[in-house]
Amino acid sequence: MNTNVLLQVQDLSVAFATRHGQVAVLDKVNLTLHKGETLAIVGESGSGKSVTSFAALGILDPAGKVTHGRVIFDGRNLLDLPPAEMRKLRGRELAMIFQNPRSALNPIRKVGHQIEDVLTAHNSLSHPLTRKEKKAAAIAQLEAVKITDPARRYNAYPYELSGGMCQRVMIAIALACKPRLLIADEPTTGLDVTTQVVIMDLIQELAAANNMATLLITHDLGLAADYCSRVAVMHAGQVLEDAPVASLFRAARHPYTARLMAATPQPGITLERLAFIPGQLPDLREAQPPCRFSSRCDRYRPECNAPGLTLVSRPENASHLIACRNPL
Amino acid sequence: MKRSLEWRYLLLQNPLTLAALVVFILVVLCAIFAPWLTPYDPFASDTANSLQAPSAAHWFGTDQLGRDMFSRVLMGTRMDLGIAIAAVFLAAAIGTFLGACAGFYGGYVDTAVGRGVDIIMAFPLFVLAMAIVAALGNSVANVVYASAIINMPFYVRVVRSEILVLKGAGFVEAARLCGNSNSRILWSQLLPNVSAPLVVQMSLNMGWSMLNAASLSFVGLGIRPPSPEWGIMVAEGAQYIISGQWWVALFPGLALTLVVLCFNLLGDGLRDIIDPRRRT
Amino acid sequence: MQNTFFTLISRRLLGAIPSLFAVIVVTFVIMRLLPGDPAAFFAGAAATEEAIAQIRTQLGLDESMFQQFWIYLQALAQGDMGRSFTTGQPVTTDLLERLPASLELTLLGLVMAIVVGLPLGILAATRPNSWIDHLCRLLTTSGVCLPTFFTGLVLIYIFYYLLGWAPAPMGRLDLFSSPPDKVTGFYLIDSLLMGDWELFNSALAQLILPAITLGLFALAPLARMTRAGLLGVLNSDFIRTAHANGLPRHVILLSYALRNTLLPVINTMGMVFSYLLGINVLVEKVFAWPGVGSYALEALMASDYSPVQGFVLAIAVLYVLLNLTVDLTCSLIDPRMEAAR
Repeated sequence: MNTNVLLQVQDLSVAFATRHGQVAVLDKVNLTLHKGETLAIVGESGSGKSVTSFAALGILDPAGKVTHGRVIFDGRNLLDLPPAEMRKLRGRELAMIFQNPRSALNPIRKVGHQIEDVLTAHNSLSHPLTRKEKKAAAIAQLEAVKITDPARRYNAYPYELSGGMCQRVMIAIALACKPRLLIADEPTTGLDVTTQVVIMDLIQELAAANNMATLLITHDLGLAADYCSRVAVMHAGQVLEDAPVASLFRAARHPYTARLMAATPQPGITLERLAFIPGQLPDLREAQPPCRFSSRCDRYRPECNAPGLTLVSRPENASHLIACRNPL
Repeated sequence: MKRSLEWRYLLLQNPLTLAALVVFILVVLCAIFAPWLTPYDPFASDTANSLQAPSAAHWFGTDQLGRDMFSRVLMGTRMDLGIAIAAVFLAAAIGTFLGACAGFYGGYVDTAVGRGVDIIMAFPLFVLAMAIVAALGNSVANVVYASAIINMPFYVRVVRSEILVLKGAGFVEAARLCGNSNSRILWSQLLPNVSAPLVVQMSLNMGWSMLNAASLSFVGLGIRPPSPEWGIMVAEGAQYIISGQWWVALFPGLALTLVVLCFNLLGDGLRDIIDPRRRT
Repeated sequence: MQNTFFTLISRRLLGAIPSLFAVIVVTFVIMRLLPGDPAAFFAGAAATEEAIAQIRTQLGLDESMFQQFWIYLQALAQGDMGRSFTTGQPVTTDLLERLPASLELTLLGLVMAIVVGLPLGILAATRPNSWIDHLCRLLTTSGVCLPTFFTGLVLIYIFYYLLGWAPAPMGRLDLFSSPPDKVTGFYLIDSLLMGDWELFNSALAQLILPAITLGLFALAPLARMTRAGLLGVLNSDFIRTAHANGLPRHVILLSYALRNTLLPVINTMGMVFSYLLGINVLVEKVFAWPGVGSYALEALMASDYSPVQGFVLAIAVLYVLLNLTVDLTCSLIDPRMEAAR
């Protein structure tokens, strides 16, 4: 096995119990993330991007259950770990930041204390930090995410900070214990455009400085292209294409990826000329064909219905994976 | 057809609501047919048979004057249910009118109505009801008025806030552009949309208002003996509790509890059906 | 900080004056509608017409309504709430003597409801659809349906008549004890201050059934609000963040979720407390409790208006103080409320 691999999601399937019975939200998701690498998961809302990361971190909603698969992190299957062990890894080895940073922070706790909470939760028993050291670390952490006047902001409450500032705080909390993997779930949603760039640059910079791998979850192909080395495209709980950015943008092989790119607004393309993807995400309450895109796909052929659809390497580029029987 | 199926499905999903509905219908039937159902005259005293424990002849026993408790509890349904329904409808009618005016016209009307509501709410509500009944005199009508007054603020608030939200909605603008007058918009466009939360509020209020009426007569205000009313019956039975004659107070008290419980379950069920978001 | 607190308190107290004034006016008007002639009552059964007329003049009852109200207001400003003609004492004296009895009862009832209701709501919210969740739902639905006067009687029947565990429902102390030296007026506290355990036990034994009666009623809204509030908070984004950062469960529950749930719960507590003050009248009647509620009820029955006016005013003032306490507590917990001022 490649020792350079940090996170490997293998055939991960997740189902949610709902009033309408079991809903298969993830169908055999496979992802690989190398140390220090940046991978983007791209897809429409409801495609299972976030669920994948929640399942990996063990913070799925109680209604959701992993029905199949493994999540190997640094040689260990996270899904086999007892909850207490997994709890200790979260925030220390793997951390996550979310969208809408203002509501993702405790509204009635000082941001400095929220950083200290993470330090306390992962404090080593042999060398516990004193209160003073914790406070110093929290302020240093605020400084690291480039918050001006960190000693004063330590005492601020989330409602006193702007959305971008709150996202910085959340990054400071997530990186407080120098994790090796950061999952960023739509970190720029709810922020204005200029702040988006600043936040993404900050994440990139901190990741490089700490040799930290990043998993960026986004619906924005452009953002993925700008900040990541690989992109995995998800649709209705399946990974359809997984390729290096250059290869993907030069020649997308999956019909869905191609359509997604055509549907991305670009300068010079008017709204009338902007392509759209016909149909909508399939209703997962119903039984699904092997390829969940087949009902929306204009390249559908009868063999698409054969079972056993998996990601396979393209002959021209071994690192370009695709799950399609009739690729472009 | 589709709609009735939906209701049936929802009721079957909520067996408690269904049970409450069945009990409610039974209680209403009891209230309507009470005079023909009572085995004895609820007012006829029979001192030779006073304070008899429940038996085959007297299912709920007899009270200190030998009156049949079962007949009296049954007749009490009429009185208590009647007061609660009258008070809630009166409160809802006045409260809706005031709340709708306050929400729709705003300005001075809103301020005046708001102040009035605040004044009522600054009182301990039960004590206010007591004072009103004492001042107006002991009669069933005055109990209804007092209950209506202390219930009214809740309707004003519910209706006012709903109207405020709806006022900005597109269909109101559309109605205005079609040349409808203010009052016409209020009555034909806005109020029908308020009916759902209003019905929920009324059903939740019914039990509370019944408790209020019974509490008033328990302390000796409003309805006077020998009227068969549950609060009075419990009050009369209170003195016999410590000597062990439990049935005089128990049966009217249980009847009251059961009917109030049934109203509350119905109200909760209705709210779940009409507005599932507010489920707690 | 101290300064903002002070301005908040004074602003709120000033803001309460109009509604207190309205309460005074409305009560005054209602009380003048009471049947019966207070002058005749004061003069006694054998009094002549002249004697009654003389007393009427003395009491100012032959003045116009406005004049009477003005006289009443002037007296009120000096702390004089008038004289009760059933007890013959100044209303202020009567109220001060009886208020601790009512407060002790209400507070103990509220404390009982909190001690049971909060953990119940928390357990129900953290274990949805477990047996404790169903128990919580059952209690919250049935709790508000119990007529307090009826619950009290059932408790008396079971614990006094059948089991003999509770003493006779005849006031604050049994016949053989004399009240403790008055410090706070709360018998439980005063007897402890005297170090008299026997007296403490006697007072507690008398207090327990009426307090449970009130507590059962207060339990339902408290448990319901705790459960609903905590469920809402547990589903919020920042709890997910806390989980993602690996905070221990107890930290998340205690210092993240519960603190955020406290706000609606404290507001509910204030509401419940004010409602309990109102229905105290019923419980005091059932348990022959010598509090302000039974005092006002007796006065109302006798058309004795001064005690009723005094009682309503006292309760209205308590409401204002209570709401102020609730707001202050909330602003201590939630920094956003501080900013909103």
